[in-house]
Amino acid sequence: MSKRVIIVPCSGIGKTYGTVTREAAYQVAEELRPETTAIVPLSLLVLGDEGARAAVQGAQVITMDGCSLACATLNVRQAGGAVAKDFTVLDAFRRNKALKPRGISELNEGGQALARVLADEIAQTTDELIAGGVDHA
Amino acid sequence: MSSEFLETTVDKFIFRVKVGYLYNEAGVWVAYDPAHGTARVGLTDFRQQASGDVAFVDLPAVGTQVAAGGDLVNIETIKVDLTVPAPFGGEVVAVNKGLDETPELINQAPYGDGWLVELKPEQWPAEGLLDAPAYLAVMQAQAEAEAAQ
Repeated sequence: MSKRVIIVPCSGIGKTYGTVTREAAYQVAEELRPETTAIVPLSLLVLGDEGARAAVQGAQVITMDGCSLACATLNVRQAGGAVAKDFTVLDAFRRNKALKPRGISELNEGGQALARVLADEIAQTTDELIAGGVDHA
Repeated sequence: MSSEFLETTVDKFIFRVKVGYLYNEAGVWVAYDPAHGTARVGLTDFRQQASGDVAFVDLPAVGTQVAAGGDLVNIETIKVDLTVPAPFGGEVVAVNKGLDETPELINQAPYGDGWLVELKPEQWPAEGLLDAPAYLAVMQAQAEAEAAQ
């Protein structure tokens, strides 16, 4: 059975770093790797949605966390999923100090650029996961 | 509760205050070492939790003279840019270089490995510092005010 790499971003609504993760996820799933990735909303995992749980179980999952609580990573694991790679906005920001994210509903220039950096890294990781043997649609 | 710390819960958050340290109302702790005449300085558990995950720390150079209330350390977190005021006047005699590589120590061990600088006070005891029970009361009021926002 073919599977896409699942991306689960932070659900921190109203949080700048959460917005960065979601923006990065959209860029990967809609623009950079639309054929090989899919997003599962963290909120559905938290609510115990059966479809969301099934999607992360048995798939290679990339999580993106906005803060050290790491809700995306924790909830994927609690749902029975295996996290292939966890990205955090804080680590990306530390590597790119000039890209300071601001804004919530609309990211500033730095936030958008940081989201792009994350998106590019996730696209690269997706390629590596697929090359490692994961079939995809 | 450990006798090493006082503790209070506000909303869903637990904040600890280390017994034996001194504090100012800005959330800076001071641990004076009478053997060396220096004091180690850091951020309280409440202030680090309220400020969020630390991304960068800008420490002063050793030898810098600071005035009481003057800018001591700049901290950039995921929420705020925070300037830590000097709790008293003096000379910076050491800085925590470990924060260059692992600034998250401020979040992980605010009263331990996450210390910021060591100062040689112009005079000791310094004025205006609070003991742990007094700071706990101040901090609880600050935490409740922030929770109500």
